[in-house]
Amino acid sequence: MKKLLLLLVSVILTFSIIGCVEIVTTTTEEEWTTEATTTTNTTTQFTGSTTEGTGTTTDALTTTTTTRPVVYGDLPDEEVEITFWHIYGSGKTALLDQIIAEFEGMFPNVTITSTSQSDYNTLREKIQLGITVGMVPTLALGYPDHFANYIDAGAAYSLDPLISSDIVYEITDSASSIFGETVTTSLDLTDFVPSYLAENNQYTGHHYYSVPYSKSTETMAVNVDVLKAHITEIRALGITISDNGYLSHEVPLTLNQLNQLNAIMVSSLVDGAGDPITDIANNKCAYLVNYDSSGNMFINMSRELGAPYTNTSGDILVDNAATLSMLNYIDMMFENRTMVLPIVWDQSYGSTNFIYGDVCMSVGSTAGVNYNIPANNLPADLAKLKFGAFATDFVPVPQAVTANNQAVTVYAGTTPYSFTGNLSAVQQGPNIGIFKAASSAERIYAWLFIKYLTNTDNTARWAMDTGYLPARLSAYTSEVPIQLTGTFSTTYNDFLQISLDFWAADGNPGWNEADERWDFLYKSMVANIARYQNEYYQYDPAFAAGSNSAGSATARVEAGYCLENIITGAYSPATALQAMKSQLTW
Amino acid sequence: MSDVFVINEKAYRAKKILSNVASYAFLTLVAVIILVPFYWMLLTSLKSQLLMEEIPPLLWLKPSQWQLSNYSSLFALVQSGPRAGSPLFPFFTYLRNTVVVSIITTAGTTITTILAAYAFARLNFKGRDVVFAILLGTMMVPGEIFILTNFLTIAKLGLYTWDQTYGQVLIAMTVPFMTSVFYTFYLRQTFKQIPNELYYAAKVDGTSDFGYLLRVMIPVASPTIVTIIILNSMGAWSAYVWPAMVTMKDEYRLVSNGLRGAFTDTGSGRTDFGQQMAAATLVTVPLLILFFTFRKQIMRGVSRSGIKG
Repeated sequence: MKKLLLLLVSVILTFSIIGCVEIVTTTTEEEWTTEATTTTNTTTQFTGSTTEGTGTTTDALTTTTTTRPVVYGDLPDEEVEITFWHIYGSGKTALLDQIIAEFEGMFPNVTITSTSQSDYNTLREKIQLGITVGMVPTLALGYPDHFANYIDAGAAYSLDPLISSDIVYEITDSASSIFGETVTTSLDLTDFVPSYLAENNQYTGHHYYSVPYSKSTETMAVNVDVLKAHITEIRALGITISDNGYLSHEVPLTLNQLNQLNAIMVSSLVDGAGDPITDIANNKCAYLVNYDSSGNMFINMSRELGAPYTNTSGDILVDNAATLSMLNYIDMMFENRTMVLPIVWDQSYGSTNFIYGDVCMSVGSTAGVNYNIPANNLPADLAKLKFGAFATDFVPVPQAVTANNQAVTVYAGTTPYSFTGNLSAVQQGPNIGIFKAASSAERIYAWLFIKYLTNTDNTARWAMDTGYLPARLSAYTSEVPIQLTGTFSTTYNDFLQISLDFWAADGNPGWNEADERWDFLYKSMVANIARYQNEYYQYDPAFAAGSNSAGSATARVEAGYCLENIITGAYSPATALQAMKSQLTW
Repeated sequence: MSDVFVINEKAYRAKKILSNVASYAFLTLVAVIILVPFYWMLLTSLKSQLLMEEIPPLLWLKPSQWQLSNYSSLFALVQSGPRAGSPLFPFFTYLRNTVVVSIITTAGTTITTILAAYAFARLNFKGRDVVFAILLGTMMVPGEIFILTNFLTIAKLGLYTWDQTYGQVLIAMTVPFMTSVFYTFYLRQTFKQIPNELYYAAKVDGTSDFGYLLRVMIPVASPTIVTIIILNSMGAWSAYVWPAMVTMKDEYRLVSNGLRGAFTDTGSGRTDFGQQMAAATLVTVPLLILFFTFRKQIMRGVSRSGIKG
């Protein structure tokens, strides 16, 4: 009887505690309608695409140019305090603080308090808890799935009215560093990388709840010394390569070319345990390409080969013949050593075995570029570097096709698999948005701050200082000099030129050893590759877990497990796919 | 007769030696299992990123391979940013917060536990068993559920504000954890073992209930109370989720929160485990000093109560 009583009490307590929580659930559509009616001079129209939310860039907006009378307004002149939550440690906040100080100089009545919340999970959890008590920051960083949750909770603020407003504000505060000038909240979205925009308005109604801020992508590190040893054979395949072993930096290798390079650059040797090993004498690696993130590999290959994965509606689409064919093809590439994952060596990242010479190429994040340079990461036992401290170059991520909607046939042995492929490179990194709990004055100034933070010059400064990529296309031609070290400053354009000069000189630019361009060479390389790839960036549709399927973050994790299960031999491609499906849908 | 005695003694001694060997072998194994994570933490704190990723893992390092910069960089001053003029990992600030929170939480928990356990064990009042059953029932509610309700309470009490003070954050971090049903139950069982005759004798001498608690119950149950203090302070020392949720400013964080995110590169997602483990080692040192200082008391408390952390 006592046990029953206890059980009953605990159940009642649990439900009563859950019941106590009141969660604000204002629908975002209502908010947008209210805001939209107060903004009369709309010049930008938001249109969803016909191929809704599959992660392609066709969801971007269209802008119509109309001549409207200029409407002048007054900025709120009361003291405004803006709280900005991010996750940047001290390494990245120096520039952020500088930009904040500049903004506060422009608007002396505004104080911005920026706080690092350590990591993305803590940041998201604190905001989600804060939503229940109305204690959220004015603006915060977040991934698309974070904003999807904030939108569901009715807490995210649609930026559309601000973006499309025509109101011009004159700065009348004589203490302002821009006294007498005018500012506007409207934003020219056409200057942003289109796929970044698509990622930020992928939500219901295609409203912008955030704008791109710190973005990154993947590139492929290659071992120049090994490539140079096989120049004749590589040229015989029709692949462009310089005399010193530098591949094209604009034209990606194709998957079929990777399989051809396999015959030239991959060793057939195995050790006593039967594991593939590098053939040092013949300049052949144990494997050709290592892929840092198995999740990214699954998702990007799906896009390259036109195999459905997920969409913004939250549908898990992997249970189809194209995805199975893709997995069979990947399985063949694992088998013949064209592709490999770090898990084979119990590693988390591909760079270690790239440095060791176990692989000739390694696909990884632009933010981790330095880990692929042997000279900067010497192991305790130098004998582990099978090709010594070789030269590293960066090239675009390999593609299935050379143009969108191109038919392609790939072969697993003699079995042909036909796909309709697309160019694809993953885009990663957080965006920045405003919360609805902010007052109208806070929203305006928070938005002006976001605009300032992401303007051409600042996105270029941020990119060079942190290794992220610029959010705006105009940053690539920015002429604002940035002091990178005590003695070295450069514009973003000149920063890009560092690697262009290096490549033009075929790896022998004639710089002296003390030249500081060496320090920024590899960052410059990946920035250029990213620039070439940004025409075909694809974003991962963000959605929260639904009643019968998991959320996008879980889907990515399971996609990675699927490939890891295949490469470790735990499952066949068909079984791995079924296991993935059973984890994601119920 | 004496031969039999000798044989028996030999057999007894052989058995004893065998038993001792088995016991010490088992204890050594357990000690190794317990010590390996500490050794690994220390070893990792001295490794560079690449040495850390070596397969097979390096089990020891030559002094020439030690990367002592993992430690020195923790105390390197940051030129700008929110921690301008402070070290990259403000160890002493975080440590002070952790120590203060641990002391307050433990003191609070100990007081409420003793009073509640005494009431449930000794005092007779209407509905005592029902109230105790309800309290026990709360143990079956997962702790995570309380985060939301506690957060709402703290926020509505005005302790989670944008201009949160150090006093407010201390209350927010400690008050929700100043009671423990488990410890109350645990101490109540100990209190119930104390014979009623002592209580009646004290009453005859004119001692009040509170005086009896102070002079008799607490001294008799001190090993259990020491155990509660140890377990609770360990829990408070390693608390992570709640302190992260209710602290508004960086300088209010605990070491556990600081260790989590301070060493991860936000771009590549890679964590500098060398620095992280160096910081973890520094965090562990005060605990070790505490343990060796109060080793006898801790061991007595643990061995008498039969509970270990």
